[in-house]
Amino acid sequence: MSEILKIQGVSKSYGKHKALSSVSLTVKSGSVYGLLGPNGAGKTSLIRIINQITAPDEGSVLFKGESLRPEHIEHIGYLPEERGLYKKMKVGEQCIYLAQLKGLSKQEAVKRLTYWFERFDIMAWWNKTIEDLSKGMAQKVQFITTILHEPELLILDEPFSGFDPINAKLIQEEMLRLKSKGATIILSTHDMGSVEELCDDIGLIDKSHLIISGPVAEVKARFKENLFEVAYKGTAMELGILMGHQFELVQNDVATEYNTAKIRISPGHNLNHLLSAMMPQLEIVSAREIIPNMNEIFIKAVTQNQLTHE
Amino acid sequence: MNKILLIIKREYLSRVKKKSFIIMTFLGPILFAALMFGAIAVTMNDNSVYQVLIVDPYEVITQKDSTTGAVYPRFTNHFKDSEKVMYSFSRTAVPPEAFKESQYEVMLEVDEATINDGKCNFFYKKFPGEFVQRKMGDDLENSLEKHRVIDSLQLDYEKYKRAKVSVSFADINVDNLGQEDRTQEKAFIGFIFAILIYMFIFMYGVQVMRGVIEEKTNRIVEVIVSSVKPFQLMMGKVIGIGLVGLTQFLMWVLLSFVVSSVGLSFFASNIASGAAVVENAQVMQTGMDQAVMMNELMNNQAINWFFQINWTLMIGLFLFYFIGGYFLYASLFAAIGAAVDSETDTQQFMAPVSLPLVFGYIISAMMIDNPESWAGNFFSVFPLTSPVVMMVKATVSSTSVGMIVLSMVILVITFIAFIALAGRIYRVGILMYGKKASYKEIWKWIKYNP
Repeated sequence: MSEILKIQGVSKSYGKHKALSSVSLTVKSGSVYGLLGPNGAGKTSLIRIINQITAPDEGSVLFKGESLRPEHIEHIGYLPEERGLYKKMKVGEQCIYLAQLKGLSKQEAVKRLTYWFERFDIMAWWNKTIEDLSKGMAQKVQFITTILHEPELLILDEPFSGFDPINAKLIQEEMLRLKSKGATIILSTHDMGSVEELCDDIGLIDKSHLIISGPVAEVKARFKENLFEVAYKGTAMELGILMGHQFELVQNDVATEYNTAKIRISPGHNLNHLLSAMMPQLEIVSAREIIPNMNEIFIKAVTQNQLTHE
Repeated sequence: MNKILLIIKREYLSRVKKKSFIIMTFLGPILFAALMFGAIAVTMNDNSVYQVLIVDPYEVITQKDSTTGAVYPRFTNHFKDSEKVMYSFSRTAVPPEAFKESQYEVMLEVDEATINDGKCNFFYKKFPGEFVQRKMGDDLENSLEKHRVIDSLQLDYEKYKRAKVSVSFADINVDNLGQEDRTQEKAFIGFIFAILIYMFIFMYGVQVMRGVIEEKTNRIVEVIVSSVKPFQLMMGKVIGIGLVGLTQFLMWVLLSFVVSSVGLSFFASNIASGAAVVENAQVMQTGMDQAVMMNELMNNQAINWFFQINWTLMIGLFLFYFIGGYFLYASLFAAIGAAVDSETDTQQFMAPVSLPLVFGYIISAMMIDNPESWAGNFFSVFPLTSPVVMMVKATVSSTSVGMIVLSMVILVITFIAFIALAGRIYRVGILMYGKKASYKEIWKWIKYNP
């Protein structure tokens, strides 16, 4: 898979405030890249650099192997977190204007808008002003203006905020459809659920540094703690006898039908060893490895990073 | 299409299509003309007659018929009744309460102070207008003068009158012999242009600022600057709104011309008919009457200075200084808009930016009295005030072409520098939310590398 975006050693400061410290990452063509990080970590600064709103102090950004140039703007679609439209302008007129600013001709803009407005079933809004629309409706219009020029790279900053679950689903489906047609998406969000669902790779920025990056599965594997959840029938005491230096009981929940234990297996041992030890004494109901979710990884990574910086 | 043109087009059309713009454009000159002609019409049609009682207990300006006992003016040339003033006289003092009960509207009391210093109290129930006051004043002044000449100085009044000289100036610039200049009247016309520029810069400069704040608070700015450079967005807005201002000005000139010619022909027909009633047949003659009247106006000494003014130059200068001044101030207003989060935060920056403009306005008002002052010379070249002050200065015929050109060049250099400076503040400011901008902060923005 080729790379659509390669960021190499990018740094950016605003006065004394360091927004990005030597950030390097790669976004593969046709993938969904999750750009994560706490508020104020430097995500927006990085996105603004990719959009050429600001320039990096150091480092370089390559778009399809070339240094960023003004013409690349027409291949990038950006939905900022802080977004809005002209309140008093008519919806249709406004979409045409924004499309023209992205380099589309008026005729082409009208043609594509008609397609999208029909697809989203919002043709009736064409002559309404934005102030007549609800927040969710305006968000839909904004989403259309972001993708209308069919960008190869879409940068979506919190795209689901302001949507009800039904419309959020609709936007998510559109994202996946665009991806299947070859578009690359950078998704910046705090909604870890959608990261798990949509992203192929992630990058986590905290305090101006990129602290984690890579494919989602790989990142998760990196944060595994050799924790297993075993449901069993038997007493806690019987289980306790089996624990030793190779198995550590982290938690045991007692219930009427069966108990559930969280057990950490020390390096050099695996689930097979644990089950072999348990089976003669207890009846195993189920067993699975506990893999951390993105939310847990996010919190753990950021907390650790903050501890090391203090 | 070039992106900056797209922005100009949107800024221009979205404003020109607004109801408020259309209403202001059409109503402005009509309101203005209505106000002017209305005032004229009101004074022309003010038929109220003032009953004025002159009380003369020292018996200096009245005489009494010994047989009838009637009191009437001593100098019969004065205190003649007119359409608006009817005089009555009394030699006995009338207390204010009695005046209150009487049919008179105004009472003048000639007391010792009046005779010695010309100080005169008048009591009124209905305040007399300028015209009535002037008539009363003239009558009283002349009568008292005659009283002094004849009674105190014991001179022959006719001889005294021959000895009196009244001086009237005619100003002739040594470089422009052969005609009277009427510098002050011309300066006044320049001042009207100065007011227009002052008004337009403020009106449209503030619109630029509001537009920037709107885009910033709307958050649409982030979407737009991902398509165009912030500088293009700022310039598109400044130019687009400036064009709106020019459109409005040109429409006003055009409409004022139409409205005033209609108004003028109406008055011409009124005057020509000599009476209040306009016969149908006379309406046909209106055109001719108007031509006759215009001709009369142009030959009238009192008004021909008006036609001496180089109107083409004045309109040309107006356009130049409007555009130059507008660019200079609008770019600053754009920078203010970018630096704040809402209009309420603009105060601290508005004051220093509007101060020179207000100052220029005051200087130009002062220049009507003294157009050759050093302040007038300095501030008609100083770029922050020149757009306003030069409009007055240029009407004075001693103002050299060199000075006007110097003022223009300095203005152009300054507005280019200001646009560059404002652009640096703008590109950082529009993307800063929730941060209270201080002058120190803005100075940092200017130095930032984008």
